[in-house]
Amino acid sequence: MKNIFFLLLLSSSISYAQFTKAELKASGLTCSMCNLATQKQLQTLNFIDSIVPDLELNAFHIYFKQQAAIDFSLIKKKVEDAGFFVAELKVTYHKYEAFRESPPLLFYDQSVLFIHSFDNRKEQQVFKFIDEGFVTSKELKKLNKVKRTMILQSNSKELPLLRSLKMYYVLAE
Amino acid sequence: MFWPNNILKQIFVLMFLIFFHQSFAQELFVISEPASNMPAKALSFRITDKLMNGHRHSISGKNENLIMHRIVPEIAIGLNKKVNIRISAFLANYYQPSMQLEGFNCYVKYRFFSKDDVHRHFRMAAFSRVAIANHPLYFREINLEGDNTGINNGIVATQLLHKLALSVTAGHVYTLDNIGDQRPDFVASNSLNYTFSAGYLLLPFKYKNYNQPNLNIYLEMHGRNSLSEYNTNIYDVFPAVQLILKSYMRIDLGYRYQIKSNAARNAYAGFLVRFEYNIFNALK
Repeated sequence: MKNIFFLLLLSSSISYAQFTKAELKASGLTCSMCNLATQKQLQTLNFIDSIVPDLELNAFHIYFKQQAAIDFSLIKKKVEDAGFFVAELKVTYHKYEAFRESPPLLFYDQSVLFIHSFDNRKEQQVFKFIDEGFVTSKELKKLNKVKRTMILQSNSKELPLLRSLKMYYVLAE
Repeated sequence: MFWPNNILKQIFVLMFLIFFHQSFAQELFVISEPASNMPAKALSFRITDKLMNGHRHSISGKNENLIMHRIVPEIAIGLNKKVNIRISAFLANYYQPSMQLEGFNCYVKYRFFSKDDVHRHFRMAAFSRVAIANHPLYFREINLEGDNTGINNGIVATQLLHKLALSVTAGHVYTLDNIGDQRPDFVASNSLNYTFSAGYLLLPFKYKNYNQPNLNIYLEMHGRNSLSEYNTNIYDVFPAVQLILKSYMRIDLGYRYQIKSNAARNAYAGFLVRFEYNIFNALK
């Protein structure tokens, strides 16, 4: 019974999911030419509305288009195409009810977010991506401990259902 | 060979600035290529003038003293995040009184290692260069940028350390016959080619927007040693300043000076003036 509900949930791909903005920090760059190259790469993504750079911090405040499906892996790809790496990606999310307790999951378009330390009472939350390629290699080692506590047990019935989706691990802040 | 005092002083001042000044480093080197690549799908256009007061071997057999130019139009493509291609043409009056097309050059670079952190990275790349030149050779100096026909394979490693960018290039040069003219015996068929480069950003102290001009300074050293035939050793230093405009245009001004050499060459010193224009996401 639980499985059927799960399937239904997947196929409907929650439409009220609303990511409004993201904060991206890039690593490996120091010059404004590199920053501009990165921004120009990001601007080719059709779900991005506008980008405000912070050149001193190599950071980009990204504003998403409303109702657009966001592919987080494309953000990573574009930064890497510019010749750099993602050091930090934080997205702001409005209104979410956790589907399950441990870990809470968020289904979004063709992806699923595994959320750590989620607070159900908050209207708005910031999720920080902790997968490889979304954090610096140093931080990844630290975060792997956290990630291990979140990983679904291999005997979980949900596992085959998740296989067709892009999986991301995020920390709620 | 002597070390001119004023040049030495300038080099030490530059070295001092590079190692002790606290600022951001830059790696858009003027004579060498960094291990980093240009962005995928980007196009870069360059025009460089290498001018020098040098000797040209004239038909009468005498060397003439005159100002010579080598105009180098270049186009570079970021094929993907790991592969860059640069194609250069050499229009010069180094070997005849009129400006003529003296050669072509194709350079391919593959970045195979990256370790990045905020404000720092270490990268390595392998490169290959094929050069074609179409004039007779009179000098022992080997230079695949307009003088010789040949193949150059090598490795480049670049370290960005928050305040400092350092780069080392090392490669092997195999020299072939120039188009229409045989390689003379005094031109080594095998040689070693290497560069050491350092660079850093003088201005701005604080980044505010893309329109702020950046001012970078560089000090590069270029060494060449023959591995076969005549023993040829050439060592040049190359201080340069660079202006980045609107984050997509670049102007380089450089001065090459020979610090030690046992080879006859076109000139022992020369200037470089360059303009570069970048178009990001130019390719679909």
